[in-house]
Amino acid sequence: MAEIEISVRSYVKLVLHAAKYPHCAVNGVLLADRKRYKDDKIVSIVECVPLFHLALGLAPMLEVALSQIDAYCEQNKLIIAGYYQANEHVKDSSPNAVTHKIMDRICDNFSDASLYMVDNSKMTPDMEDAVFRIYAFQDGKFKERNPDSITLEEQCLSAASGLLNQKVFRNLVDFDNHLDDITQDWLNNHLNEVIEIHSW
Amino acid sequence: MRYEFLQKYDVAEQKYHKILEEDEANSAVHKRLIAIHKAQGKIPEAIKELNKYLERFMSDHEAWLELANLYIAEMEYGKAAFCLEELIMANPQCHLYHQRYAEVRYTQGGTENMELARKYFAQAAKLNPTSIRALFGLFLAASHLAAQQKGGGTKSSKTENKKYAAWAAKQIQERYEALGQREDSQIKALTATLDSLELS
Repeated sequence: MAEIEISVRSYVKLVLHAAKYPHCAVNGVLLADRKRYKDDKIVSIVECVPLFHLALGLAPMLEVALSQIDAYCEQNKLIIAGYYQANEHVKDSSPNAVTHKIMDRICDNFSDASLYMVDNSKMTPDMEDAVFRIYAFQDGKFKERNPDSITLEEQCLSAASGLLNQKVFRNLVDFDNHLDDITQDWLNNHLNEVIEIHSW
Repeated sequence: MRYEFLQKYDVAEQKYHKILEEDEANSAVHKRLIAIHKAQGKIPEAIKELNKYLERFMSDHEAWLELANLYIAEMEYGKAAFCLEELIMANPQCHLYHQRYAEVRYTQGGTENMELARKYFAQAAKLNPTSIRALFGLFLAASHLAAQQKGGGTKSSKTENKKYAAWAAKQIQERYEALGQREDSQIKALTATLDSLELS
């Protein structure tokens, strides 16, 4: 099982997405550098694309989103290497049927993909610990990964904490927002600079 | 509601039942009781109570939509479709219900459901020509049907479905291109998506 590295940008976007819709279940995908995996067998998560906050279990928009993201990955030498989900209920951080369905799809494409289940109770502005638990998906079952094989880039927690306090999540765009108004950028390029500044 | 917030659900339930003793027809209180089930993660109970509620308060659209969402979360797509049908009957001009219904039928799969999905996506697109979801849905459903069918069937044939898919794809591309200052990469991603999803 490959090691995982998570960049500030991806961690922050994931946290902001969950924070933007505290009353909904949210999900999204994480993209890794293809070359890094090929050369060093390390899953280096460099980007995060928030997907939906309404009706996570419906197929058509998921297909559209994954195809667009796939095409983007092809052009930028990335690969969909992870899927995250934050459940609606604050105490519920276990994978459900939708999680299985989507992980099946993602693992078909990249067998070393992992599931990042958000623990809602850790979503606090203080951010002392990573908000998610990471699971490998093998033979239809989820198995928690060894925390030693996972590295968060240094400024992840502090950047996320700072940006949560500034309520930057109001500007985050997910795929649902994009489908409602196509002028909104699902890659959140407008946030990348803001996140950069906070990671010093 | 204060007790709900404090998670003292038993006390809250008692208070609500007392109010109902005085006024059986207080629909808001009925809904709070259902919300308590949902807050405790007891989704099957919430569904059962919501069904009972809707037998009495049949015109509560918010409740029908909530029930549809609960069924979608439980992956009971047939029952979700029934709820959305009730909503469409009550509000035939609302494109959102047509769209959601089409998405549920699409997720169920199978030729009959796919035909229904295509029809309802088409109706949603007719009611709201700016709806990108409806256009994408129409494109996907028509492409699926075109891929499945052999030429010259009695219902809409392969060629007709291809035409619908092509029309929808053109509409989508025009909308994206009209944005002008869009990043090239996003347009390329979209074109690649439309090509890859065109299954025939």
